[in-house]
Amino acid sequence: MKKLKVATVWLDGCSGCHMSLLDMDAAVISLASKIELVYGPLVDAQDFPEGVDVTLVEGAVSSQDDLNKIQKIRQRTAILVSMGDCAVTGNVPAMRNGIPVQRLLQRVYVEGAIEGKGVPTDGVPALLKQARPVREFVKVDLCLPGCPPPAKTISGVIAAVLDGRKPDTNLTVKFG
Amino acid sequence: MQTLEQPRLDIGEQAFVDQVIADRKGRPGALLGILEAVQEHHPNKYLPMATLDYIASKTGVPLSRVFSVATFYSLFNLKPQGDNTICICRGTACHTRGSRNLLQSARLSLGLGLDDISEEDKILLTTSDGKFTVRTVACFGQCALAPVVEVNQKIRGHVNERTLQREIETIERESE
Amino acid sequence: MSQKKISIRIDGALVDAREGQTILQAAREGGKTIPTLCDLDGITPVGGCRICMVEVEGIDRALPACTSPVQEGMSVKTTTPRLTQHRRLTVELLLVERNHICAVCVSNGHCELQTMATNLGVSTVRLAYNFPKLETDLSHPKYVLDHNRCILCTRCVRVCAELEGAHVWNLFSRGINTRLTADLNGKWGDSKGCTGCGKCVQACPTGALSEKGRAVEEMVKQNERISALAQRRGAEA
Repeated sequence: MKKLKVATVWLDGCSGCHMSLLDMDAAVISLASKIELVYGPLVDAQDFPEGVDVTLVEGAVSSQDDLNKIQKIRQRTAILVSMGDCAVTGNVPAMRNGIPVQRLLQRVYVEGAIEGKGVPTDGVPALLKQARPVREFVKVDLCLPGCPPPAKTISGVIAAVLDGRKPDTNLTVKFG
Repeated sequence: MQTLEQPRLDIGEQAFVDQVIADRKGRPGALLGILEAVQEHHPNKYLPMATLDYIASKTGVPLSRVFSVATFYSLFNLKPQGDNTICICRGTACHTRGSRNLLQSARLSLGLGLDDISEEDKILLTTSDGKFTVRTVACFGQCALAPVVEVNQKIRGHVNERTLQREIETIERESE
Repeated sequence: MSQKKISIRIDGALVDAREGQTILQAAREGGKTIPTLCDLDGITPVGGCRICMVEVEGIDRALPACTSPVQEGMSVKTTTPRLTQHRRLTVELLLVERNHICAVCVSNGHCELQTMATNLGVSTVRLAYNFPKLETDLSHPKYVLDHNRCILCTRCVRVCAELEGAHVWNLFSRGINTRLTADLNGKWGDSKGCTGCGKCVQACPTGALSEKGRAVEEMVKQNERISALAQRRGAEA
């Protein structure tokens, strides 16, 4: 049987959703034989592959790099899932949205720094004006709010796709 | 924003407010009439915070309610108004007929600058010499005359930047 | 009570009601649930949040159950696809208007807006978030007001006026700029009228009003105490 190609992506988030994903305990063993993890912080692949079946996105779209990534991912993914509050609502990363970017960087990297004062420019992507939910940039097929969403909810989505079912959009969900 | 740290009302102003309140005693909805009469009496056509405080204490209407009423109706001003008022309609019809340009050109020619050119629904700016106030309104109900500008309580229809400029020049000449 | 007895139908079932009651009151006494947000048992209903909208046979538009009086022979539907769609959109509009960051909120897990979203299956919003820049008032010695979490239900306004008689709170300005204010837009801590009773905090459905020093998830509101107090006052009167 052809394995389901699954990717995970980590945009502007705390990685807690990835932790929750790993928290599925023994369920990971039965899933492992049926899915292939093709991209994400948990594997080595450098470039996002073509023809991915399911991509779980953690985090808000916060930088130019996030934006480029998510657009490419959308083109190469059949089912795009916003995993967790940051991807669904903006959540904590969006708390900076009322502050102009330059003011924010100044406060953190100059006024707030003890040594090495200065806004980093090399090797870091430029911040967008605001951190915003994934759905505001590309089409999202399913939203799993929660901070983080329970492991069962995440594995349930993968299990549904494996069974050829449409993931249940009326799951019991909770923000926060 | 505004606080109560302002000088108390002088005796003359107090007497006027007392009279206005006494004239309307017992009438339902008296507060609106009181606020209107007191604002009209003020040389700068506005309601200072100390006045609102005084009205509340004399009428027994809670402070929060007085403030609620005074901020709900666009008729009431909480900031001093200039000697001349130019009120530019920002309703849909006037907007499509170029009222944004009228607003910007009025601001520029009166030296009010174009800072905070946000899409706020209500703009109220007064020149530092107190001669002109430029403000916006949601609609005058004169859409057939769009774009509409009210200059010192007189409605002007089909205004363009040149005619608006002429109005301002006329007022400036007459006040000299 | 000498009020005239009338009977209405709620979702098909016959419910006894008294003249002068609202649809919501009759439904609650008859053991039927209608979801609400701005309503709080014991204070005057205002029909502000539009969550309790119901359909009444023979009337095209939906009516707010909390302010619509019962009428003899009325047939009310509390849950229809149209009403559910309507309630979902209402919750989505509330979520996008301000900054509801549930994950770091004192009321996470005990918030009526959050629960309403869960109950209605709202997993995302269809509108762009507003992300306004709003203030937090920490001036009161015991309590905090966070405008980011306020849904303008006016429960605090009403409970302060009707049960405490202090009239500290009101809304000012209008439309999207509407804000809760203490006195003349002053700091809450400077309010001469505030007795510090905390009824507004207990009545607040979200984390907008909370006790100082509470961490995430720690603010559990006791609005049933407000209702009990209102009932005692009513009995005394």
